[in-house]
Amino acid sequence: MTAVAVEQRWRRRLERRKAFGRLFVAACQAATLLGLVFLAVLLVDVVRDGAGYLRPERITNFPSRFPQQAGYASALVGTLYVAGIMSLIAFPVGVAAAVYLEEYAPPGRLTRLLEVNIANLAAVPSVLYGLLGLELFVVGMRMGKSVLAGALTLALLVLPLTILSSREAIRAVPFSVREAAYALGATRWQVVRHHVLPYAAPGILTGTILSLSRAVGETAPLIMLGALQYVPFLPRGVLDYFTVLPIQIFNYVSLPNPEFHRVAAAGILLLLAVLLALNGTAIWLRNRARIRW
Amino acid sequence: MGRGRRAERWLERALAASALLSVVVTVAIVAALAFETVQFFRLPLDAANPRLVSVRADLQRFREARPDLVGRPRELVREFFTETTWSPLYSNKRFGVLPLVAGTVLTSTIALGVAVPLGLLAAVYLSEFAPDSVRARVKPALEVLAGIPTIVYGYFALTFVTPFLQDHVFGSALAGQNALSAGLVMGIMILPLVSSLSEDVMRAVPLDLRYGAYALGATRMEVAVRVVVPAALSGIAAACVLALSRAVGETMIVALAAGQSPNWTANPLETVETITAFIVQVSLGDTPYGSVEYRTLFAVGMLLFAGTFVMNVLSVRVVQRFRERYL
Repeated sequence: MTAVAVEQRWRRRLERRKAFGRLFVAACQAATLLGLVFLAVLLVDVVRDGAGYLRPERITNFPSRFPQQAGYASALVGTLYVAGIMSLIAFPVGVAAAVYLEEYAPPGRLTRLLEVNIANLAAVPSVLYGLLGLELFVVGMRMGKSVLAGALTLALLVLPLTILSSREAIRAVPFSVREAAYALGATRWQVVRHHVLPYAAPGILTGTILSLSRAVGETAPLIMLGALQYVPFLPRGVLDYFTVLPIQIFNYVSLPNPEFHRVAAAGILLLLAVLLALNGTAIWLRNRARIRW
Repeated sequence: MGRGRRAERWLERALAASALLSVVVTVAIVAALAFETVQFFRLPLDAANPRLVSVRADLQRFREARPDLVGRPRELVREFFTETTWSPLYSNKRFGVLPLVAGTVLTSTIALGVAVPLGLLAAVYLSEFAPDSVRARVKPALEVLAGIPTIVYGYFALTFVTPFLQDHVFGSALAGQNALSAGLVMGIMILPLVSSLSEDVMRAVPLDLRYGAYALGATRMEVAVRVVVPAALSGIAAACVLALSRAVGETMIVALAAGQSPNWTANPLETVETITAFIVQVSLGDTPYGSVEYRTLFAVGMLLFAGTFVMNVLSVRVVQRFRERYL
């Protein structure tokens, strides 16, 4: 074969390779787009089903046998109640654990074990936390299917997430800050309390808000603890029965009457609004308090 | 030693205790599951104990339904792992867990079939082809998919995807609750897990490798597929295993859209029940502590825990074993 023929063949092949590449990029773009299209269809579908039912009664009314009157009052209050108590338990413990692992823990096998363990816990299916809550809190500690048992169960569920995100925030504080404080004679706790934590605070807060929104959307673990079909009252104390938004939505979806599906869709809109507010706050915090070192 | 010092030491201990709490939680989960699982396999022994049976109605029912098991725990173990009928909530009471395992495997396989190809293509696009401005917007938008509560996906699979597939593709061959819709929607849910983690590892592949391939005359696609993807393979594999573990443990989508009747089948058009959906089904009813139903909850829970735990350990191992190191 002459040199010219070889070059011609190579050029033809190059064209083919490039054309194949363009096809491949198109496929990649299509795959990316598909995920976004799915998200859009999901949101449009929920809004279409639920918008007509999104009326004040959904917020003020208790569950009912009549779809027109069925509402989420006890579920909304239950969600607030459970999420609030959960935050009080999970976040101090989570941040303390993160501070220990980042600032105190000596490198070694024990620390390694703690880290591996936390990573594994974060991957345990949430429904198993429900089984733990059932055995430990509901039965073992005789709390019954109460707000407190629900809050404790969710606290255990979000603990690994809180620890992981708080550690990231603490790790982002540069070492020069700590060294400067040590040079001035600060003790370890003083360095943490006056220098590391203030700088890490926005990051920690962002992470905790995201864990909170995870807890608010969780259904499975709480079904084991508070899946009462019908809670026609607001929980008054921490040992009262309760229901939360996702469970109430689940109950309405499970009913055969299709009108209840639209009540469920309205509940989903309420739930998404709560999550949007939480995530919006987290993003706003992150952008406002970003420090460039 | 001053008072300040001592206070500092106590503080350090308090912080260490918080960190140790995570170990306590792990131990508690394993202990609760293991204890109740043993109680489950002890059912034949409890049913053989006349004093227990005389006060416990559920043990009486167990005795009446399965006289062949009374006093023979080994037989229950064999049945649990090898038989294909699961009906502990009904009067005939069979304890072969395989239909639940089949339902879990079926829905998770469909989910991975969606999430792995789409997630990988999306990751290649975001890491190798997309301009920075596009990536900065598309990546968080995809991650929104992971933040949507699973109950919302369940609603969508049941009230939109299934009717849509019935109307346009399968007709009445598709059951109202089926493995296909649940699996498809679950696949979209775990898509950002695959795409984000894979994109991160692809971006971590050093530019030098890409330059080397370009210098040899490779096209952009050849660089992406033959250089970047193989170099990032350990991370990609880990992402896929994590996604699988998420799909296996996912509960609300399958409870709503896949159904609640155990079915020993590989047909995605049929109603199936997963391990997690069974746990939800039992929890919706009344399950007094120690009853037959209560014990089955933990026995299948233990199976779920063991499965996901193996997968999580595997994903860490995969990364360590197959990591390509670049200096």
